[in-house]
Amino acid sequence: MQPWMRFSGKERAMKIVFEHSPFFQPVTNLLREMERMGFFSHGLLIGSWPMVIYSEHFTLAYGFTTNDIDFAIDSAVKIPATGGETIPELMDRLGYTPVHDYSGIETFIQGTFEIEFITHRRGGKAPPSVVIPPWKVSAQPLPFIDLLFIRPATVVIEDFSIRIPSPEALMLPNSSLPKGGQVWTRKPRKRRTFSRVMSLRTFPGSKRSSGFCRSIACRRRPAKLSAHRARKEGYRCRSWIFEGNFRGVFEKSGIAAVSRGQRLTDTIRRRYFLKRRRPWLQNTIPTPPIISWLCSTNDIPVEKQNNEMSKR
Amino acid sequence: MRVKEKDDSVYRMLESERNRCVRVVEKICGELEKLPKGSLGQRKVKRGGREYVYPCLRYRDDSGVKFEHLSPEQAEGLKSVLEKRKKLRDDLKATRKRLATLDALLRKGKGHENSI
Repeated sequence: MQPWMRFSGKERAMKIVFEHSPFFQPVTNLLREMERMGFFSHGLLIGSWPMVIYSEHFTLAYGFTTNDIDFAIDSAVKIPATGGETIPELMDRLGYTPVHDYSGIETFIQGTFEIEFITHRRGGKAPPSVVIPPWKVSAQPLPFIDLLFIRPATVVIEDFSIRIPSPEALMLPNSSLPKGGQVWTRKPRKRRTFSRVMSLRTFPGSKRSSGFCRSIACRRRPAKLSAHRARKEGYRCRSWIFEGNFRGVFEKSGIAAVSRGQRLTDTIRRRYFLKRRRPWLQNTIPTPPIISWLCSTNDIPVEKQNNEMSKR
Repeated sequence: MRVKEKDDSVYRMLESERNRCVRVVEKICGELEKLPKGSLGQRKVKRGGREYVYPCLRYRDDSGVKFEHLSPEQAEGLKSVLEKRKKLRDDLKATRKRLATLDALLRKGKGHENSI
């Protein structure tokens, strides 16, 4: 049995509880109102603001936030129609001013705060903005947003709860999956070697080391090297692809990338490769031999990995 | 020699926030151009020994201050738009201030980097 087959995909989602809100009062009020209108049943808080929760919960060294509050919306078709308040009405009530840019994307501005809605783009050409019918808000379609909806974490804050992406899901969108992975063209010689999707674990000593992150990228192996030869020459997971600017934050908190575990990889595999059968993504997801190659890098003992990390 | 560890993530974060602020400023400026300028007022006009009061829109043009007569319905409609414009101008001011702060921080950071 290949290691990648072990993952059932039915693991319990993470739940984080806060007695006091880690956010500023205006942001807390906004999230509370959004939860009341049922947004988080099909939406997530994304961008830099979940970082506040991660930094509190996982005791990271620090976590920055921008004044840009982003919300991801799952497939617009699934959202049931409710006769309640729409998002523009809610924003108006909370004192946010709607601003439309030339492409039709709606942004809500109050002071230096900016609220944006993002939805998943299914590939190919797409309109620059998509109106989410029940909430009557236009969202910006971006690729791979649906990855953020893989086992999202529930955060209970005071008297309401929100959903945020699990940390491992946050690390993948920036890695732009189609560029990585095994890309087979018609001519078998012209293949690009696997470059990303690896795993991550916490260092011993950092708090809550279990169940944190499992996804990460590895260094691109030179195309002329075969997988076997590269492994012999000591190619291992070296670089990290975290969401945007958070790499330093995670690194400083003792969370390091090692090639261990492939649970998220497998989740993606199931989601894209088996379930949806997207031909344009089919070849980009690591196939079992590649995953087994990744797993073989587990041979490095943990102590050695720690030493390697401390040297850096 | 002990050297402070350079943390790129801080500067990357500040830079991305700065770029975001620039985008917000552009967005707000674009929205402000679409909205009517000026403020609502009333203008008294004397005709035939009687005094009429009209709502009007006062705004400054290249040629000076202009008064545009409005119907009461138009004035009512313009009121909310002008309020929105005022609010957006306040937001623009706040964002520009933040942008200036970020610029100063980044300049300082770069200077510090060069000195090392």
